[in-house]
Amino acid sequence: MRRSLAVLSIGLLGAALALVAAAGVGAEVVQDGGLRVSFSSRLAPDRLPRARKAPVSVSFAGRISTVDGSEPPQLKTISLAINRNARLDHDGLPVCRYHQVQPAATAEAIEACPRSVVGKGSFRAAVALPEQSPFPSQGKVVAFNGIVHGEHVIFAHIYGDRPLPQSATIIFRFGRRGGAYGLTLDAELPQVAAEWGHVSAVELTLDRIFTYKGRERSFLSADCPAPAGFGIATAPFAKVGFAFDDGRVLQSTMVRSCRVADRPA
Amino acid sequence: MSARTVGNDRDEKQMNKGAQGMHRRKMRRGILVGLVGCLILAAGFAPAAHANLKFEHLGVNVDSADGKFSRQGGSHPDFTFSFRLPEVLKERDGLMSYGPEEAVRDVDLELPPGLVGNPVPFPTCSMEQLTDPKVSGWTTCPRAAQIGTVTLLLAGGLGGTSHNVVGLFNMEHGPDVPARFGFGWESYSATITPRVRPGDYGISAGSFEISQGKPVVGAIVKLWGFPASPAHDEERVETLCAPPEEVPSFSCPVGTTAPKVPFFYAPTACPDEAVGFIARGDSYESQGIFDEERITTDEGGNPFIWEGCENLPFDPTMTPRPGTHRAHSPTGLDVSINVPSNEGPEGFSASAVKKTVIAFPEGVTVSPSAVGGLEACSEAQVGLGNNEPPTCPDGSKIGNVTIKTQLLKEPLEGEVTLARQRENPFGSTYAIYLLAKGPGFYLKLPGELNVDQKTGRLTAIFDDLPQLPFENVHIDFRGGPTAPLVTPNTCGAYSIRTEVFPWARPTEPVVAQVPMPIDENCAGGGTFDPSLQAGVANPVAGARSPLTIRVRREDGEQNLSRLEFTLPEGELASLKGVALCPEAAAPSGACPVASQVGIATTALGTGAFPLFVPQEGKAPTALYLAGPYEGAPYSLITTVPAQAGPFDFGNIVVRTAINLNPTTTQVIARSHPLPQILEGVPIAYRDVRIEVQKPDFTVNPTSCEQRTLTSTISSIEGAQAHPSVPFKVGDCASLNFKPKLALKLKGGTHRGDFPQLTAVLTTGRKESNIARVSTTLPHSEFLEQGHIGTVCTRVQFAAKACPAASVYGYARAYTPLLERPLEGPVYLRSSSHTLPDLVAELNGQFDVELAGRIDSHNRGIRTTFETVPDAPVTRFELRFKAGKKSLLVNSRNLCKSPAKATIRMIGQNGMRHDEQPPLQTRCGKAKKKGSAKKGGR
Repeated sequence: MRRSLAVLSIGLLGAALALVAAAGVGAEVVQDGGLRVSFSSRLAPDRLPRARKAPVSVSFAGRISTVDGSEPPQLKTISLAINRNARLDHDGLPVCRYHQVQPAATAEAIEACPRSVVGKGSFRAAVALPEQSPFPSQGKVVAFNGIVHGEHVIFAHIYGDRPLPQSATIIFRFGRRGGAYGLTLDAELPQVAAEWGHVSAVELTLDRIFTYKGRERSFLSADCPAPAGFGIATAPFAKVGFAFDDGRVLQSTMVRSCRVADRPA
Repeated sequence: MSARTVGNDRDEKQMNKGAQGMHRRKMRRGILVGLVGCLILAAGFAPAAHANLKFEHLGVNVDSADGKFSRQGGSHPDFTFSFRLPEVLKERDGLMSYGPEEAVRDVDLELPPGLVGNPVPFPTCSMEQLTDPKVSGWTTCPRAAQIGTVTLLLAGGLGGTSHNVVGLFNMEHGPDVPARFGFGWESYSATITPRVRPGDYGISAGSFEISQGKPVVGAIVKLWGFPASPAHDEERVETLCAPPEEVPSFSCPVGTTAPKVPFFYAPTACPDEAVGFIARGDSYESQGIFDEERITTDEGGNPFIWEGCENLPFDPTMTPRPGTHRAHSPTGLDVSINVPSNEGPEGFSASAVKKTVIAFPEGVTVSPSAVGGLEACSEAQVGLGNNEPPTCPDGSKIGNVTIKTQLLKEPLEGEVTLARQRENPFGSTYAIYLLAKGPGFYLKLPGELNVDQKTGRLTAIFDDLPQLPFENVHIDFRGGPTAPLVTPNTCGAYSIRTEVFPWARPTEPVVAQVPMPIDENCAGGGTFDPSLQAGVANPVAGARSPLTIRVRREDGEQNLSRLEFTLPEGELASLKGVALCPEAAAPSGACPVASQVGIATTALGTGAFPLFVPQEGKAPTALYLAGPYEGAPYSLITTVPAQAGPFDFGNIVVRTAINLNPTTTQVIARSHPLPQILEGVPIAYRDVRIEVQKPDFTVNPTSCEQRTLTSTISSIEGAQAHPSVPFKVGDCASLNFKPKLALKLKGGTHRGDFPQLTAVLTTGRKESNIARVSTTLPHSEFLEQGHIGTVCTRVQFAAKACPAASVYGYARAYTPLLERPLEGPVYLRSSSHTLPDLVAELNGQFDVELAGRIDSHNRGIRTTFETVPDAPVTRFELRFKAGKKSLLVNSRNLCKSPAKATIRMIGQNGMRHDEQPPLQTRCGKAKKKGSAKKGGR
């Protein structure tokens, strides 16, 4: 009875969140002092099997701003923890070496490691040099299945040609931890234009589906852990944290819903 | 007979006393012949002969007509001079007789200054009248011509000395002497000729070549102070009242018709010190060997110290009148000084003028225009202290002078001449002489012109003027465009201060302010609108051609103070091979010829004919190249010898800082403030012309676009004008434009390597300079933003304090205009563009900055130097840092496919030159040790 009530309550909560999500409110704003980060995430498809993993596309985005319009501090690290029901699968996925993609334009990077691409995104920064009007710097992000020192990583390759052609590659390192979140991705960001630049937005979607040994595989896969009797599940989907060079860490837990694709009989 | 013998007293010593006590008595002839035998007898007693004439007695007395002692200055006393020679017994004409040891030839008396006689009002006597043979023993001189008496002491052989009183008459005289007095006795006559001494302009009077017809052993000469005075009736000798043909009459009236005016004047100065007389005598036997004695007291032992000058009238008027009422105009000057005299029988003479001062108002200055073509008179040419005619050059004359004195019938006329600078009695820069010829003398009066060194204010001073009375002095300085003075720049009610000092009371001047209204030509004062002209002799693009810049200022406008010119872009100079004026020589402008790069011409002064410097025959002007000045790396020294007419004020040296606009390399020449006054003469600049004419020194632009030579001309009153002139050269099409730019990438060629980029630009001869150049690197080169250390802010750059981390390379530029290349670091510097600029700070003989805009073009890094200075550069090297300091990173392996840069260049002459040179790499070459480190993480 108690479990039923609990499941019910979770189900109601999930229904409510689903309504919210359906309403298009996918961003969560976190503020510390004048520093504000708008986190958003997306899991697609939202209809997943209950008992087995299915390929998913996971998107994360963060937009950094300040309340008064001043320059925000530099982003030093990005930490991403994904619900334990998600699974990372890079078996059979070709790995890319850092030097193959860095430095390179997007096309050249993809050309260097075409089968290692696991996602894409965008990157935006602002550079405010002394006595200089701030100017934006933006580029594409391509995520590669990489390997560094024998460890699997994700290379987030960034390229932009405005104002100048340049590229950077951020290394997301995998980790595991207990609790609601099983998979973690942590990356340290290089300085943007020495001390004068700051990241203003980053967005990344991991969605690679590949075939290995005759089987279709997905770089990320997940199920929908809805309790028996419920067709929808709501759970902490991801936890994102941005650490800045002034010591502040802003993080957010994003709760997302999924619906069971194969409803219980 | 007009003479009388009053006694035979050989031993009489007090001759003047005897003369004063003389009564009117019938004249008689002295009997000498009977004494011959006595003389023969006495011959054995003749003493040894003297070597020369020797006065036995000298005496001067100045007493009133009634014989009372008088030292009243300005009075009209009687004056008596007496001398006596010793008598000796010796053989004369074969007989022994008493007589003078030597026959007197000349007797001369030097009177102290101020003691004068005035013969002009009195009738004169001719020599014929004085010794009319038809009436032997009588003079037919007009009685009114008698101005005194002479007691002639004649040796009487053995019979004693005879005293023979005769009248002293005002004689006719020629133009060479101011007066002449004469007396006669029997067939004997003599004259006394006064003369004006040079120097102190006192009077000396003497009797020269005295007749040996009588054995003169002495004389008492008495001049009456007031001849018409009845007190002299007793002394008045009888003259023939009827014509000589008639029977002599003895019934002439006792009185005289002489004018009732004074004849003799006591000095009008009353110094504490006594003055003296100097008597000189010469004999026929010992000509040229004078007996000279100074007489300092009268025969009563009273010194000659004049008194009572406080009672003397002195009411002069001095009226200086400029020749124009126009502002800022050359002007002559008319000065008139009137001194009313007192010629009546009562009272005293007006004091003579000792000193005059004319203080002009500020603004009235010496005109430089006046000195062009002028000459000056040296002291030797003037002959101060002698009576020789001045030999001043005609060119030294600057005016005329007329002096009217009651002592002379005719006014003295002469000229005003300019004295030689410093070689004048005052040692001053400016002095003049008043030179006037009188009868038998030259009046030579030096006057000093004091000029305030700061304001130019003029004060004219004539001091120690002769103690001679005058009624009027009129000085007329020439007018016209080359007049000696300049009126003030602005209209107003000015006044000239005059001071006239009397000899009687030298510390009590009569001061007056004479109005000097300046109320015409008032417009123009205070404005400032100078004009500018500039150009090159050969306006062909890239040619080497002299450059001329000229600034002119209208008369009456505010004076020039500072000149600043910014030459048009590309108008440069070749400093290579030009020696610099040593710093030690710079202040004086005495620079070596090797440093000369041009000349200067200036026109100075006010009016229609300013003074042009340099003048013909004078030292030339010069423009020298010199070293650092006022923060600028170079300077020009303009040396203008301030030589005009007879003046030499040394060199006017104006130093001009020469700098370059670091971004355009435009030459900026900024002068030190121009001197405004030199030796007290305000320098009104009318025309300043700079000609940079050293062969192959100045270089024309290679752009044929119209450019501008701009200026900032400052006035002395702080106004500024910015006249500019268009500047354009032609024939740009004749210039080539084929520069070559080689780009090299040293270091690693692999992806992720940080190469060192080197760009070398070379140009050929007779090519246009580069106006714009852009270089777009191939896609293979990315910005390595991780190697951006920092950027140099514009403030830091201006302060030359860029942080080391903002240096990303090194540049070097070679130009044929300089001895050494310009070189220096290459920074990323803040800019108004999206990205910081790439700036090469080129230092050396000049500092130049070359700024390139960085952006992205077709996904390549592009650097565009939008405005390259129009300056010839034969080689330009730009080397960026390598390895971990390189701003570039290879985004691909450079050896796999050749990468090409895109170069677009535009010449100053408008020609384009584009190319796509391959990036030179080390592909295929052995990698040297120490090459750029490979990148990548």
